[in-house]
Amino acid sequence: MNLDTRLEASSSVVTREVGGEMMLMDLESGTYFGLDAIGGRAWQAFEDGQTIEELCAQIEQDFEVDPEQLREDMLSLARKLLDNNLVTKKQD
Amino acid sequence: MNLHFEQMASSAQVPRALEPFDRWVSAEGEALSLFYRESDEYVVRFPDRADFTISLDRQTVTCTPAPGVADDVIEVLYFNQIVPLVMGCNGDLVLHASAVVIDGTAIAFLGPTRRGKSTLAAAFAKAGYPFLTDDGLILDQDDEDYLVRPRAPALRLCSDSEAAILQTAGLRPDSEDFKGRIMAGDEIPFHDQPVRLTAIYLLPEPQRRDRTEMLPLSQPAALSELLKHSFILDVQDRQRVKNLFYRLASVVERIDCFTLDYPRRYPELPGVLDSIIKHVRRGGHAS
Repeated sequence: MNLDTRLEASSSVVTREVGGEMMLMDLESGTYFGLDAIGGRAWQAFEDGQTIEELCAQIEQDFEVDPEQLREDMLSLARKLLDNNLVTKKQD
Repeated sequence: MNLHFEQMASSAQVPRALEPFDRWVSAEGEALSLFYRESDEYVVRFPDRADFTISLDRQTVTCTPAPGVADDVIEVLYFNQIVPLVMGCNGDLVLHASAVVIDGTAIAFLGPTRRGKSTLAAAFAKAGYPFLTDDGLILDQDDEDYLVRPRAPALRLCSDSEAAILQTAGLRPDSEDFKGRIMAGDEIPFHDQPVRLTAIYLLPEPQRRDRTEMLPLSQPAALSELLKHSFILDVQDRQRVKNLFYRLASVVERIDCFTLDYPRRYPELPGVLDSIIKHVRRGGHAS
């Protein structure tokens, strides 16, 4: 996993925005997760086929953030999603 | 719903050939029910109590009680667990919740077994606020609203709740299984028409000993709780689970949800009811 990684949603995941959060449910395991506004934006970016770096660049345009911290946070989120089988690495 | 029920002679539960595909577990980790899918049927096992076999077309339920299990226990399991599971599978939205009517609108109490759903429903009814159901709450969508469908003019109470609320002798054996049936009547009124739902109160693990506390639940948190407390027979049926997810998301967008924690002492129940009624009348605002 690195900043050039592209992720895609697992086929077993359904999503719905609820109360400002993106709720994900994995139909395979029956587990569900909530993503805050930034997490929801990351999810949307992954669905649009963006790399983690492209996502970070986009967030930097809209928010004043520490670039290094942002990349660390987005990589951590991506790993968490991957560990929970909510996304898979996209093959180029 | 056309559901044919048949009760067989009792028989000791033997290990099943397949592993369960789902299980409901108590907070203490005890298996409350195990779900098996076999070639042409589902089997729901309540350990040491009964096996219920549900045909895949969900038309027939056959029960095999474990030896020594009273008919009353079987009736409770069938009515409060199996029927809601089948209804959920048939497309109804069914929650582990009771509901009562306050000022013409319904409020629901959501939570697992032994968390106080029936006790609150009975206490409200006794205080003049009719109940709609004491468990297996069915929600019907009506445009922007959700209506609570009245279920049965009876509720089931543990003997200690029955004794405290109805001032009866409470002589029945009190076990988790044994809940006496209380028929609705003048003392315990039942509302037999659908009523618009305005609030859902989740009953968490009791913490508060000093006062009643109602806190707003965020929509995402409420969705998680409704998913946890829905009746669904086959969690591996992706299409049904997906539908349930979307439908419950719509519910939490329209219905206010709160946690409700209160002292679990019967003498304080009237005060608890009073706090809830005030909360409802203020539209869910703290004060």
